[in-house]
Order: sequence, then structure tokens, then C-alpha cells
Amino acid sequence: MTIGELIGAFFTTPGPGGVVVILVLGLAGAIYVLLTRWILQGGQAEEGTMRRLR
Amino acid sequence: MKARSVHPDNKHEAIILTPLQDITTIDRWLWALLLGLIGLGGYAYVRQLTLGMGVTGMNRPVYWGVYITNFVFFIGLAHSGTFISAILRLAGAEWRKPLTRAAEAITLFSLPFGVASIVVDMGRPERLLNVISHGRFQSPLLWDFTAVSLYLCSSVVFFYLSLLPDIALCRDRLTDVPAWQHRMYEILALGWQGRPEQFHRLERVLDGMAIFLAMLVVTVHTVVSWVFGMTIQPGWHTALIGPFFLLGAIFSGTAAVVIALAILRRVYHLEESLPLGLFNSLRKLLIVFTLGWLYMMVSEFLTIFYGNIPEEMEVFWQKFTGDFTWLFWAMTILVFVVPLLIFIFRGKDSIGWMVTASVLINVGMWLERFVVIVPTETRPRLLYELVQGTYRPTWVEAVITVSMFAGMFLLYAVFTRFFPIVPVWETAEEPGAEVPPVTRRRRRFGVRR
Repeated sequence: MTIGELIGAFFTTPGPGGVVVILVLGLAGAIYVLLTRWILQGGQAEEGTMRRLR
Repeated sequence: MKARSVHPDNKHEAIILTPLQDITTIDRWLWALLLGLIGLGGYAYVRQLTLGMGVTGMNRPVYWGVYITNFVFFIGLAHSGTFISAILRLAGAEWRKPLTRAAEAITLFSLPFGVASIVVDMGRPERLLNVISHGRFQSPLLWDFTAVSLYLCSSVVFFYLSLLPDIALCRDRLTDVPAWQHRMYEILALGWQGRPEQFHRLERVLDGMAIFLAMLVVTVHTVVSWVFGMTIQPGWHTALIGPFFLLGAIFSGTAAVVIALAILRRVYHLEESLPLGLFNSLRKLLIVFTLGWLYMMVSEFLTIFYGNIPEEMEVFWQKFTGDFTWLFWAMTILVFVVPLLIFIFRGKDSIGWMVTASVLINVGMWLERFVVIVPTETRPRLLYELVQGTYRPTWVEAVITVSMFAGMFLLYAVFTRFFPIVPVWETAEEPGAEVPPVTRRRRRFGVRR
């Protein structure tokens, strides 16, 4: 199978499209979870230091 | 979880939180009515599932009708939130702040019904999973599925993140609500404490997501239009269909925001939080969109007319003088003529006239979606000399459509009773932003003689 045929098969074979959908949505979901955690952790380190100093 | 948060000062806080503290009898009756309509839609859908698609007006060669019209319309409405929140955020338009959540809520509650319209149109809903198991890259339906799902997911996150400080506000201020409601705020607030660094990071993430969502808003509706445009059917196969759909979506979405704001302002007494100036700003935007829509219409039809390709002209005349002439001209009057006259001569400082124009625009835009989809199918390429289709929606389609709108209204109405519909933290007074007293200014800048 040539490279051209391989690429062609990727577009025309049933199945790979669904994998891409899952990958795109899964990746977006993971990024959003990480971003939310990052926001919530904002200022936590400084607060811990202040508490220790007190 | 007993986290308490630091909240920015907002003089309108008490008024904004008032609707959350009591569910009135009128609310309960309204919700019951909307639930009844949804139930009717459920009955019609079960009937369609049991008896087959023959209960609809769809036939050969008209395979797409009211359901796909609803799909495009709901996805269009969903662009309001992203436009108001993300694009105006990037543009630094400060006036958008009080209305962002009302607009984002339209996005959130109309998108699911856009997706549901596709499922209802399928007849065999279990085949939706075939997109995952047998999805092919060359299919615009797969692009559509990906884009709409990603848009829904991103809109939910954008909405939730911007709501987070206000959920914490509800958790801390609303202590006399039912225990389950307070528990809900506790869980959804995720322990938000309102630290300056949290606000700083939140703003950064929302700014970043605004750029991503601005890109998505263009992609999503363009891909929706490609479901039609990638076929070679007359009236659909044009490069203009993407921008045309996009402009129409933002247009109807912004008009929907005007309607939602006017209702909220009246029902929840939010006159001070949602001042008249907001409506005047939206009026200017809507004038631009109305003229933009006319530009698209003229570009589209003039090109077709000069091309004079027989199969294109068949559909063209269907709209201008044929079977769809009433719908086409009604759409033109409702979307363009009357709203533009209202906006220019009556709309300024008048919420009533603004709402009238916005309702007309949305009715007209639904008709526009219908007139784009159905005439092409009644006169398909190559077949139009042999087959001249007709389409008349049945009561099943009408009831399911009404139930979908009822569902959207119900979600919106319930949401406004549990969460602040005006963002408290975004509209808070900035410390030091007030104008200093006159004496201090005189001392600093001197007195003009």
C-alpha cells in the first residue's frame, strides 16, 4: 500500500472518524478539568505560607 | 464543605439575588404548563417512533423539513451567548457585562435542542452511534457532530467558570433557602474562596477561552451550513452559504438576547442592573446585522440570477413567485423591512419596540431557515423535471417543535430561579473607580477661571 492509498483509506474507511471525534472531545474535556483545577488552586500557596508565618 | 469566600461589592447584589429566594405560584404554573407541552411532544415523538416517519410531512424527494429547520435555528440561537460574551469580551466592550449570563444561558439551553432535532429527524435514533463506530472523514455530518459537540462542551465550561464566583456568593449569602438548594451551591462552588489570584486566573482563562470560542462560533455554523453546501443541490452549493448562516445565527441570537433581557428586567425588577442603555447598544448592533443580512441576500440572489443556470433558476423562482412566495416575502418583511424601520424610527429608548422587532426577526429567521432548506428539496438537481416534490408539515412535527421551544423556555425559567441571571462579580464596583470628590479634584487639577 502506498502512502497515498494509506491516507486515502484513512478518509474513506468506516471507523477512524469516530476515533477522532472521541479524541477531540476527550482532549477538550481533560484540558477544561485541568484549567478549572488551576483556577481553584490560585493563591493557595501564598495562603499556606502566611498561615505558617503566623 | 464550609468554605466562605471574599466577594466584590455590588450595590445591586440584593436585587439580583431576590428571585433566588422564593419560587412563586406563577412560576409553578408556568413550569407545569411548559412540562405539559413537553409531555405532548413526547407523545408525538413516541407516535413517530412507533408508526415511522410516515406520520411527518416528509416524503420523496423532501427528506428534510421542520426538524432540520429547527436544528439550524437552535444552533443559530446558541450563537448569542458566544457572540455577546466572547467576541465582545475580546473587543473590550464593557457595556456587555450585565447581559453576558442571560446571553450565555440562551446558548446553553438552545444547543441541546439543536442536537435533539437531529435525533428526532433520524427516525432511528440508535443509529446516532454509527457516527462513532463507522464515522468517515469525508462526511460533513461527522464534522458537524464534532464541531457541535465541542461547542456544547466548551460553552458549558465557559458558562460554568464565569458562574463560579456567583455560585459561591449564593452559598455564602443564601442561608435561608431549602437545605438541598444550599447543598447544591456548596457542591457547585467547588470550594471557591474569592482569592485575588483565583480571580486573576479566572480572568486569564476566560480571556483565552473567549478567543477559542470566537473561532468555534465561526467554525460551528460554517460546518452546519456545509451539511447543505457540500451537496451540489441548487440554492445550497455556494461558498456564500457559510458566512450567510453565520451572520443569520448571530443576528437571530442577538435578537433573542433582547427578548430575554426585556422579560428578565420586567419580571425580576432588574431595571437598575439592566439599564436602558444596554438595549440602545444592542439596537445599534442589530441595525448592522439587519443591513448585513440584506447584503448577503442580494449577493446570493443576484449571482444566481445572472448565472441563469436552469436548475438554480427553478429554485430561485420557487421562492420569488412560486410555491414558497408567501413564506419568502413574509420572511423578508419580518427580518428586514419592519425591524429596520422600528430600529431607526421607534427603537431608541423603547424596550417595547425593541422586543417587537426582535420577535419579528426570530420568526422571520425561522422562516428563512425553512425557505433555504425546503424549496431546494422540492426541485432537486437533475430530477426537477421528473419529480416536483411538495411538503406540508403535519401536527406531529408542529407539536414536537412547540415542545422543543417549551423545553428551552423551561430550562431558562428554572435556571433564573436558582442562579443569578446578572453576573454579580463581573458588574461589581471597582475599588477606586469612583470619581473623587470635587474639592479633591480642584486641589489636584486647579480651578478654571
